[in-house]
Amino acid sequence: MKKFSYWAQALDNTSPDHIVLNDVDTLPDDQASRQQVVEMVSAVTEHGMTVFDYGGIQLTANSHEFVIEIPAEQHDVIGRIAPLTCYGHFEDSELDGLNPIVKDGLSAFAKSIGRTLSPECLILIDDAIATLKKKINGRRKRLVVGSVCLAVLAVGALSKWQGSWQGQKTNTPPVARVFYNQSPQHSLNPFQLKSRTI
Amino acid sequence: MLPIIIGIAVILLTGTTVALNWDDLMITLKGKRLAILGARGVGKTHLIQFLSSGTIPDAYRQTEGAKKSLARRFQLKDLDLKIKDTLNVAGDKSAYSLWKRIHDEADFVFYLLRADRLIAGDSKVESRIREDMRHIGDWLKACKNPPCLFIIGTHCDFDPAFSKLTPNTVGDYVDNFRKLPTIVEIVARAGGTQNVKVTLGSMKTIQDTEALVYETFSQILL
Repeated sequence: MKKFSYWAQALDNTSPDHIVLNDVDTLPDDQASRQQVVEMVSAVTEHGMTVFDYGGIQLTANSHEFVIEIPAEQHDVIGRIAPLTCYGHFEDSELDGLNPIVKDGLSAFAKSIGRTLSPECLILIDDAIATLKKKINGRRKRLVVGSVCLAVLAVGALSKWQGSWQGQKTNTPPVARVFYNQSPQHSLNPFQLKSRTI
Repeated sequence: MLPIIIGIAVILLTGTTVALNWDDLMITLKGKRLAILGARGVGKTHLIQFLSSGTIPDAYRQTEGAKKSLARRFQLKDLDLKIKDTLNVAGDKSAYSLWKRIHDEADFVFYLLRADRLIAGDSKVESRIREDMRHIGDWLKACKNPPCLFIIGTHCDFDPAFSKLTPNTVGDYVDNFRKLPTIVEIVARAGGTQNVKVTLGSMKTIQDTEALVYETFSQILL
């Protein structure tokens, strides 16, 4: 079972935040685990690409990590939107199964801290994950096309080099030819030929 | 983190015309990096958006993961601000490691706090400010070239006395704030009044935010 990390700020803005590391609740004094979640989330949101930003849902991702922020129905004491954040690591092959795990995980986290998610937001999670899947598949296709192009270029360059080397062999300088004529018993090893010519 | 470049600067402060020395301000601020720190709900996102775009948010959202904004340029009265990459960080204590990173890279640190709650004697706010400043004080001491620290009291509009202020009583209000035990303690922890500037104001409207930003920038030259 895939394990994710979750983060939600307290609605009173003074109590400790709700932070879950790899599906395990962290205690308020477990600063190491809590900072680990904050840093993992921040690394993605700071350096990653915003893949989806609609209806209050924001999905940011880098090559193998994602962060999704979804607004809960409750607001904080000063009336601000209070999002729930989910961080996860994924392999390309796991993208198909990601959607239900993220939705179930976020719903369970929301319930555990007394928040609710609107049905509209849960539907938008589908769209957000579908967009991520599309981006990742697009990237995979680009990688394949890029690799094929590189391979074709490499083969072309190799053929050209071989051709020029063959040409060099047939256009051996006259001095060398004279040398062969004088010593026909000599090997035709091109490296020997080169050393003698020089 | 806000690397800022200031263009023209002849600024107006809350009702009083104060001509700042433009050349000095430009030299002081050009290419400098500004870190905005503070607990949750003190106005970090609001101030960053204002400094980045000259606007204030229509709707507010708690900040969790660090958020980067694109570089922008805007005109603030006579100030021509060029703000480069902006990093907005969360206000929870779990984000102290991020705070330290942007503190250590900064030339100026704006530490925002809820002045109204502090004036009202909210013990939770006092305790949180002391804890923040214990960390910031240690980071300042550990720095070879410590950044200049500004303590900015926000949300003064929630304090009934603030709305009744006149030009003659503003000075006393600020002085009384500076005498609050928590402020005295955190200023001492951060190296004393020589190293720490204190400004107060509201960010309720765009005009209030402008006034507070002007007042803070003017302190840079003092």
